[in-house]
Amino acid sequence: MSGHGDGALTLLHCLEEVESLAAGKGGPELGEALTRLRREVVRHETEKYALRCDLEAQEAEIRRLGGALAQSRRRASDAAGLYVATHRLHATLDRGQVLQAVEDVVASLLGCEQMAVFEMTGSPPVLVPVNVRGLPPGRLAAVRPGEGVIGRVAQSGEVWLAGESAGLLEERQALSACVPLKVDGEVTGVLALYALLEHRERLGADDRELLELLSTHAATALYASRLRRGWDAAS
Amino acid sequence: VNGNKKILLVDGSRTSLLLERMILAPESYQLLVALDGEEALQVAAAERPDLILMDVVLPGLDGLSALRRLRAAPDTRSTPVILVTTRGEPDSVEAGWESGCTDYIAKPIDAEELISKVRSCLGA
Repeated sequence: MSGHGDGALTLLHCLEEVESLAAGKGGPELGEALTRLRREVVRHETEKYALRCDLEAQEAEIRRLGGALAQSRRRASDAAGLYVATHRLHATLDRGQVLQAVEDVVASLLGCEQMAVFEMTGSPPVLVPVNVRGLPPGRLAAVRPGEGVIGRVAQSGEVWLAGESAGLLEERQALSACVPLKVDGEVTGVLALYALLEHRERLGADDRELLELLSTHAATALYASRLRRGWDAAS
Repeated sequence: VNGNKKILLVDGSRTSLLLERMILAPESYQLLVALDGEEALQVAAAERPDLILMDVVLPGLDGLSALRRLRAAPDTRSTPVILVTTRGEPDSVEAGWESGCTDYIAKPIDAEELISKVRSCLGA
């Protein structure tokens, strides 16, 4: 930067020299002074160009750091959501409270207030809705594995997201996501998410991590609460 | 720097409360908690928080009614209040403004948006 300041001073000095010589009608000294002035102008422009390049590089670096900061904040926010969900699901062995925690996590972290928990029961197995929130009573019936989106999720063990996955148009319109509930890889039920809050368009890739977490942690929490209930009944 | 700033978090959902605490904890605010509207009024009167972050849907006294009572009390008349709403519809937002909220944020809460609104309300 000091070079830039010196360059400007030299440039001024050269200009004064040329002006003074021009006032005295010039001669060979005027030509030499003009050449020096041109050199100074070129040097000055070169410096200016280098500084501009420097500035642009620094601005690009600031943009990159800003992006990295925003990304790490998003990651921290996602991690906070995952921590909160895990904490809430495993804070109790009471079945009612576990189901309440599932509802609360889905509503608060995913923005969905219409949901149902289906559990696999009987032989041959069938998926029975055991907890429904935000839907009219009697709307949901038992589902056989392989039947519709819910049944297929129970069979495949894979998370289903409307818009990302196949399904009948009617099902895609009603369901936002279907999450298999798995304990040690075995499907024990399905968490079905219906309409989202109005300002949430749809669930996307960003939500998948939380849905995958629910798949195992909600299932384990429900399984543990069933064991506890059995234990209480036996003792 | 923020250690002397008090924020009262009011929410009936323990999941939301825990998430808000997780998001705001690194900012070093003093965080107070209330689970319903009545408790919020009591804590606000006793602790005089610098900011209140309050859900609209609360058990018992709802967020909008609690906000109107905060605005009617001389001690909390000018305390900034950010309403947390599960509804993004204009009606809910309009009711919030009419009741005297300073700002609002929709659930699910976005961490960056929350931090930015809290900072802005606290003049940080």
